[in-house]
Amino acid sequence: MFDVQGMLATLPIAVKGMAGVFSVIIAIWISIVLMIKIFK
Amino acid sequence: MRTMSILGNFTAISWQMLVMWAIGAILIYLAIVKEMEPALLLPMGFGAILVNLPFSGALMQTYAGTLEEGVIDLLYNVGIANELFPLLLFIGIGAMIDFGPLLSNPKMLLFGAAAQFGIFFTLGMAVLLGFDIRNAASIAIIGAADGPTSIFVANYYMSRYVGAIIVAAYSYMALVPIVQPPVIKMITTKKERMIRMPYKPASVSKSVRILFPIVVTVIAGIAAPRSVALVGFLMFGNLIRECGVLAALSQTAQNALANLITLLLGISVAAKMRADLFVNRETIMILGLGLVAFIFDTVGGVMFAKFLNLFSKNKINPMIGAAGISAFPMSARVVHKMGQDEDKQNFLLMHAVGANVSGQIASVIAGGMILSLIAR
Repeated sequence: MFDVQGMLATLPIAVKGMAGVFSVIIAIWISIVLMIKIFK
Repeated sequence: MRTMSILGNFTAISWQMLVMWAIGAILIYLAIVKEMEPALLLPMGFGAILVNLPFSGALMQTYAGTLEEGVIDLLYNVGIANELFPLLLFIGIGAMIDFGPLLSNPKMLLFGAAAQFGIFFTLGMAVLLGFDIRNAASIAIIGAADGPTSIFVANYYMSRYVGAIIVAAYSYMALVPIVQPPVIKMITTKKERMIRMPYKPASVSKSVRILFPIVVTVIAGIAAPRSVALVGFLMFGNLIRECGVLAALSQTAQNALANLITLLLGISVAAKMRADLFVNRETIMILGLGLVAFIFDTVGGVMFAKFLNLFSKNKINPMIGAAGISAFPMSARVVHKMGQDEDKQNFLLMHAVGANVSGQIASVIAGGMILSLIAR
């Protein structure tokens, strides 16, 4: 009834997805800090 | 003959259609009386009734052996099936957003990322309940707390549950003031909710405001090329707003364009609110999973703030993490109000707004990540 194996198979997607979101957000964060420093 | 035809129409009314009329009436009631997302819920509610009349001419029907395309199908095909309406709406939304509070306090970006946890948690839950991976991804994206992103992703995977997903997404966005406070209270202590955060914004020049949408588009586009349409249109709208030379276009995007697309989007979604597609066990499961997504978005944001507090000298009020969802500005208001309920002198609004607009960027990026990681 419950697809436990299927759910476990989504774990790598979830980990990659969250890591991807954080990577992009951190890159944006760094770029904002740099922009603020350059264009005071 | 005419009497026979009317009688035939009357007898063609099924109990599922009656259920959809009731759902349409509830959506209209919520829009008018409770003022919950009225611009979307009212057209959707009316559309739900319109397409669930027997042999509705608003949908594709065969009359005397000839196939006739209905206007709702037409609108759906030209505006939603090719993802045009959600993208155009993003121009309007981008033009409405002031990223100032985020640019002056960029640390808040992290909470936008953390509060996308509900999307990926719900993905697993939806698969556990028997949805295939594409439909699970379409359902999980309700956790983006962002209507256009939900429509875009669900449509990209050609999910047959688009109607239920959109109803869930917009309903829970409107219900943020009811959904979030009990979750936040459950996972925070009174002492944590009373943490004060002084607001010392960095000054942001016009050059930074102009460069920001371009830089975000480039970074998101390189990291997740499939998200570039979503992020790009959002940031295009913001560039129109911030450039300072397109005031008329900015106003048009914020008002006329956003209103027109919202109107058409709401009524077009009704194409997927036919009783045969909507009245089933899966719709109830999708509504439940949507709630799970919003709850775990909130949990993700709050727990991430608590995690940062383990290493930070200047403590963060963990409620700020809950404002990292995209539902703007409701979530920021909820967090600010909860802070004031605990301590009248605690002003969290600007921090919460920063996290909230960050959620708008992060939710679109999360949508792009889903598109990149799960094949159509």
